[in-house]
Amino acid sequence: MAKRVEPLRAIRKLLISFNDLVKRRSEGGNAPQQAPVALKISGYNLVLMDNDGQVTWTREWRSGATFEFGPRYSLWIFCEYTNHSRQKVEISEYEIELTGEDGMVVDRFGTAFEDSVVVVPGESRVFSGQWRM
Amino acid sequence: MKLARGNGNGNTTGLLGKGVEVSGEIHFSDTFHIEGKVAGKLVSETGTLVIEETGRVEAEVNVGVCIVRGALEGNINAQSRIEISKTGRVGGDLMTPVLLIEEGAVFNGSVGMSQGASSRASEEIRLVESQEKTRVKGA
Repeated sequence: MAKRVEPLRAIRKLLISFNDLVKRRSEGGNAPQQAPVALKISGYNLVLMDNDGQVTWTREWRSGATFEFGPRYSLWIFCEYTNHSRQKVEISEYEIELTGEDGMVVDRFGTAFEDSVVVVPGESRVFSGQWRM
Repeated sequence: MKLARGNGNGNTTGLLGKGVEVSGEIHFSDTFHIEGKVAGKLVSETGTLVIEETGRVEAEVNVGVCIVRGALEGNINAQSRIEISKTGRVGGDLMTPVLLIEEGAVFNGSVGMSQGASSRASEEIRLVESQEKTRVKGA
């Protein structure tokens, strides 16, 4: 599946990454960074984007207390979106973000559709992501 | 029969010990550990069910979080999460938004998000699951 990288989308991702990095640095001081053995996951977000890479809808879920996602584990996450508006919604890309205990994004999975997905009013759609360490 | 006790944090932890067998419907509110055998139905709106390595369960499970380290035959409907550890064996269909499976776990069944999901969405999930099922079985 060809993934189109558009300027707005690229800038948005860069800003999010930079923001996360600044937050981590400010909270972690100058301690040496080590690769985490396991991620502590407390929740996840679904972020839907339109053709221009603009975020059109987002929602956060809790995962039912913090759990550890480490090596030798596979993780699947399914997020449901229902179009409660009166207009059809076109989705060209989505991201599922894993969030830690502090609410910060620790990892993300994204997929861009070759053709936009159209969700008509009242229709539900499940977006899924999978990770493996 | 009393199966639960407080843990000092205001929560109640239940334990069905090794060598104990129960048939019927069990309702709990916070956390319930199973080391023995249960047949029937396990229900908790938001609670956590932990089937320990020695636990053997043949039941319909409807809980908040389900952690399987032992054996479970039956369908699981978890509002928040299902975890299957390397010692876990599950035969049944899973309904959950979050599924965590450790290498070595055995899982035979399908996965869906919720009964309310549209048919289009369910079809998509089935495709994803069928690819992953092979990988899980071979792990």
